[in-house]
Amino acid sequence: MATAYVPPEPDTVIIRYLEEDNPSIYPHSGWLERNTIIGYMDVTGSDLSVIESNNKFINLLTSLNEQFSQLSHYYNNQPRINKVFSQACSYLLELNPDKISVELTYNDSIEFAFKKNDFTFFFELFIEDSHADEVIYSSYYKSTKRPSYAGDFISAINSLYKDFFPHHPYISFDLLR
Amino acid sequence: MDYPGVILPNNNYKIIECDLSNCNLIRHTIDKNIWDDDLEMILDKAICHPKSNMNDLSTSLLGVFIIDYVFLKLTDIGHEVFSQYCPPDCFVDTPIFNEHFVIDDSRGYWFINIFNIKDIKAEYNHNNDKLTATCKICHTPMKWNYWHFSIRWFLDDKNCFWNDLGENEKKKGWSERLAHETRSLIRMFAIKDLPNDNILDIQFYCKQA
Repeated sequence: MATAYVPPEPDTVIIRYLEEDNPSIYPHSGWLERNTIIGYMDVTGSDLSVIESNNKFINLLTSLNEQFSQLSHYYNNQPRINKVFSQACSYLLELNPDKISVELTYNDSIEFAFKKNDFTFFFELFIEDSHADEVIYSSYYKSTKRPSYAGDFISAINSLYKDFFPHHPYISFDLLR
Repeated sequence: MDYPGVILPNNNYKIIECDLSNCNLIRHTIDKNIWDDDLEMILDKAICHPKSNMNDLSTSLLGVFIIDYVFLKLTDIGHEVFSQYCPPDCFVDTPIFNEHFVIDDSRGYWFINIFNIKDIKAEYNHNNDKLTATCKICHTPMKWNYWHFSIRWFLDDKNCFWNDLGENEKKKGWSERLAHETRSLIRMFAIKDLPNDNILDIQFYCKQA
């Protein structure tokens, strides 16, 4: 028996993965079927409220706050840290990683490490003004090193999404109602 | 407390140049809280504190150098006298307890298999922004530890090691990238449990076996 369609809550956007009709051009994206729903966003809130219901986000935020309290002598720019953190979270959690952690490093940076299927990513965002908006990320497929990327935040996110959605498909925000 | 003489340089030792793929490195950490159990990998903060020496990360070759020795901590005076690179057959006095070294049992440690990291390539190839470097494991004896090994990056384009460049060169943007590469490489492959011992045959480190 078919399951009845349950419409999304009001003010919710469903992010869909859109692809062309030829599935053979996506040999590495078997984990993501056409039009798979990969996330939900509350479009009425701020960056933080967009994903505050997400348990992964809450865990990450809790972890970051604990680390900040331990390293408060080392870092004194919590608003900047929170901004960098929330901006990155809003994109990285859309990838629905299997596991993800965040670390406030001794390198004046925030590093997200996350795993998705056989991929492992290290996504480092710099906090200090001299490196503002700079991102470096490296990745591995199983144990094999892949090319890394350095650049500004948006270009790094674009590169990362291409890693997850190879051969230049695109993400689209598709309002269903 | 006697300093373990087996880890000091001596006149019968030579530079180790054989294939070490089956061997493991060990490095101490400041404390024992070093592991992310969820991701099953070492914490970034446990790799190097705070961010110095990423161009020449110190480790020791596991084997003759055993876990007990990661708790040997040089004092300030000990650093001045013994924390220097030296020839493998250099004569050194034996460090004295409390004067040159103490035991710091609050330390933790991690291991890494050389096979997993040696000759790994870090590649950045975005538009005109290119960088290729190769991870090398170098035997770098020090006066306090003949079994000292360095994790270094060879810059393919510049045909030299990162740590051999001048300070101005080191400050360029790609330094942050290679520091990132070192830390991510170690996070990817570091292990917390003692791997199978693979003690190097004496012929590979002694002039006369």
